[in-house]
Amino acid sequence: MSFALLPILGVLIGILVLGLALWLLQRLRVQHQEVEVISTLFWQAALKETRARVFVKRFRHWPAWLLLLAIASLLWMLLAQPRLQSQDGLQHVVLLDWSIDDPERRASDLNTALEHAASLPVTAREIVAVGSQMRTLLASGEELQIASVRAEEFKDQGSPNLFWALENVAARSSENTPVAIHCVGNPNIEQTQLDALPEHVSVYQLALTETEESTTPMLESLGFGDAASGNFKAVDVRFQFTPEAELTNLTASLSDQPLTSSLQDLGNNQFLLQDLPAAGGTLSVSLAETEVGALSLPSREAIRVQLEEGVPNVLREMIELDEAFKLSDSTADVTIGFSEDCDLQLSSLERSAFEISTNDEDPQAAMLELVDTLALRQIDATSLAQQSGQTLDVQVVSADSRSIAVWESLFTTAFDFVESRACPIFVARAIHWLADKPSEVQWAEQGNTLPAAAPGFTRADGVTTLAADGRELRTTRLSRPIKESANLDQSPAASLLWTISPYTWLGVLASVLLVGEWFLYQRGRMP
Amino acid sequence: MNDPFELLEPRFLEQARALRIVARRVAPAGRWAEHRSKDRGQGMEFRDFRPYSEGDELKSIDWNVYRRLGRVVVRLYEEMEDLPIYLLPDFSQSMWHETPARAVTAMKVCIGLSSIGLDQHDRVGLFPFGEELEPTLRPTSGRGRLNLIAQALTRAGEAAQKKASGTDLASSLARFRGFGLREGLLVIISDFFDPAGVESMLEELKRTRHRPLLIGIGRQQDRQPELSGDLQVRDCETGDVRDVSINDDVLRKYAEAYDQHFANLEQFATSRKGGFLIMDHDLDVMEQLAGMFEGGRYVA
Repeated sequence: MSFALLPILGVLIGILVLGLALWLLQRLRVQHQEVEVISTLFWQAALKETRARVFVKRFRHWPAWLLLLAIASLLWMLLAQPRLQSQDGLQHVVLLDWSIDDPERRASDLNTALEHAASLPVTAREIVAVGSQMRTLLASGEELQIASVRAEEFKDQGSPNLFWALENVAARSSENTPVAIHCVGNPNIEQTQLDALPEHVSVYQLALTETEESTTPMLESLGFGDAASGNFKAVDVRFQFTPEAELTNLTASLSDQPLTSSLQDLGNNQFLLQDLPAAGGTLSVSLAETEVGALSLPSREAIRVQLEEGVPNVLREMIELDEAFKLSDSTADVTIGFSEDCDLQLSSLERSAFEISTNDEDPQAAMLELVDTLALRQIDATSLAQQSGQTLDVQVVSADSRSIAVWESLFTTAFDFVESRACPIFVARAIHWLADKPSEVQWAEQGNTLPAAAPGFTRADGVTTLAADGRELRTTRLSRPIKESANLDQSPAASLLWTISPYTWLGVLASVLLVGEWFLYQRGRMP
Repeated sequence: MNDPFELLEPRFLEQARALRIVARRVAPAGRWAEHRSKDRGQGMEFRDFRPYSEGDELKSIDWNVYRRLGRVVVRLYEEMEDLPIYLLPDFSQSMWHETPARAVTAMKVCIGLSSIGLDQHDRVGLFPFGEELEPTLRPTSGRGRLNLIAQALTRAGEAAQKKASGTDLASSLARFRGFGLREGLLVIISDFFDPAGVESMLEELKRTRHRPLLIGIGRQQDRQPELSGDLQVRDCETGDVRDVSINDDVLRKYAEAYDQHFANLEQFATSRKGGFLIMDHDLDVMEQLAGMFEGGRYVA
């Protein structure tokens, strides 16, 4: 228990309770009644005889001193809380796979983890949550309550695989400090990966209790990604049910058109739909004719680009090769040329290398973001500066509409920019940014927020889907399918003795000794 | 006569007449009385011979010895002289704290001993003390002086009651020793609750030639106080305060300290061939006093 776990109201109530307890103790203190006597001569002598605490006198009360020493030592141990070695010599790590931001599932996992952690040695137990990174919810020696507080602050997600977390924990261990890892639920781990772990690392499965485990099939993930075929106007959709789910009469449809024939079973309750048209249709997944999830696919239309006369040919070639763009002579989303009206203006060397006009009110703040958005960091600025004989400036100004002015020379043979990887990336990013169309989300999205793993994206209109059962699956996980799942042993039960913190035992013992001291004092056996 | 402390009770005085104080041998240069003196003179009891010297009376020559031995010697007889009795009653605040006051018991002891002394022609002096000694009555003799002593006691008692003095036995005795009075019976009647302890008083007593008679005025509760619980005891004289949690152990230690205190007094008195008596304030004075007189005689 720690004050760090309590809200301010709890602290205030605690102070009041302590105040009340101290008042009661004050009442229990010696209340002297005044009595006038003939002489205090003999009282003085009697008290001198019975007094234990006299400086520089022969110490005569060893049992009392030992009792007080024991009490003081126990209180000091309670305060210091030294780390004690666990009985089995193992460091226990309870691992939570929280790559999916499902509040219900997370709460259920945490309950299971806490129940098991309560049966583990206090000084040799940890609870670690795994998202895109690892976060320790409970460190060794800490009370269980703190894990719940830390879990509420955990917003991370998006772990591609739990194995990297196992490797991470294994790296902290050694032959002298063996580790037992308890994975909550049914982790997707390859048997080969498990075999690769050191011998002093043992991995167990911590089964969810019956009440916590949902018996209804649960759609664990649903999302889309770029089509494996490379078709820009198509996406691959992948979805996965919980491993325990029994799937009966699974069907999928796109805008009410059945897709059952193209449904590929990847095993482990994972399914794949390939090359679905990215035309804004709605994908539905149903079990026994009941929709359990739906997803709006993106509408991928090419950006129309108009080129003025005299634009370097290399630019034309890059635009023609990119399926995301389409050359147009009349109506265009983005124009490229030499005139001031062009969205992407090719300028002379007298001007800054990159002059970016943004409709952002704070151009300086926007600059950092634009450097990443336009992939300017990937440009070898040193080389270009040596070739041009002048520095490559990036200037960002505020304007009513977006535009970019860039040296025309960069796209000629005068520089080697066109031969670098950065050139097509910059051109593509620049056209996308100038077209000012919603960027495509690489992770499928359900619910209200986009994954933390994809910063800088804004919400795309129309891409709003919810799971049919009302749950919020905010992130889908498009992970590599497991070929051979590892078969994990169940976590062994711990000894009952260790389920209670040794500090609790210390507190109980100190209390007993204090009561004993009070009893002896009342009986006149304590000086 | 004004006798607020009822000192001159006829029955009390009548009982006192039956008691005698007998000195082993009184100091020389006293007046004629009933005690054998270290002086050799014209008394009734033969004591020794000595060679005749010029100026001796002829009638004291023992002619029988001269006839047999041819030597001129004179017969010496024991001189009978008085025993000075110096009464030192304690009139400190602790002696007045209760009702009836222990000081009244001390006064009655004084009257009793005075009556005995005056009856046998001894001289009696009165030296009440508190923080300091206050000579109230120089040693005087004569049976008719009992009233005088009672009046002096009454006046001194009333004054001490108002003064509410502390106790300083050592300095009081030092001052008494400074008077250089003839060797006699020094009677200290007190509760002996001197905050400084009795050691310094005993040191002072060792320096005197007087034979001590220590009479403690106490009560049963002094040794076994009827107190319990957690108390703050306040000394009625000094105002000294002590926090005391009464338990069996503390009471046992208290009784041990009390016993040790009076054992020291008794041991001292015995070593000086003196007397020691603890009188219970709640009991009859004369009965307790008479207990000290074995066969009606107290040998000083």
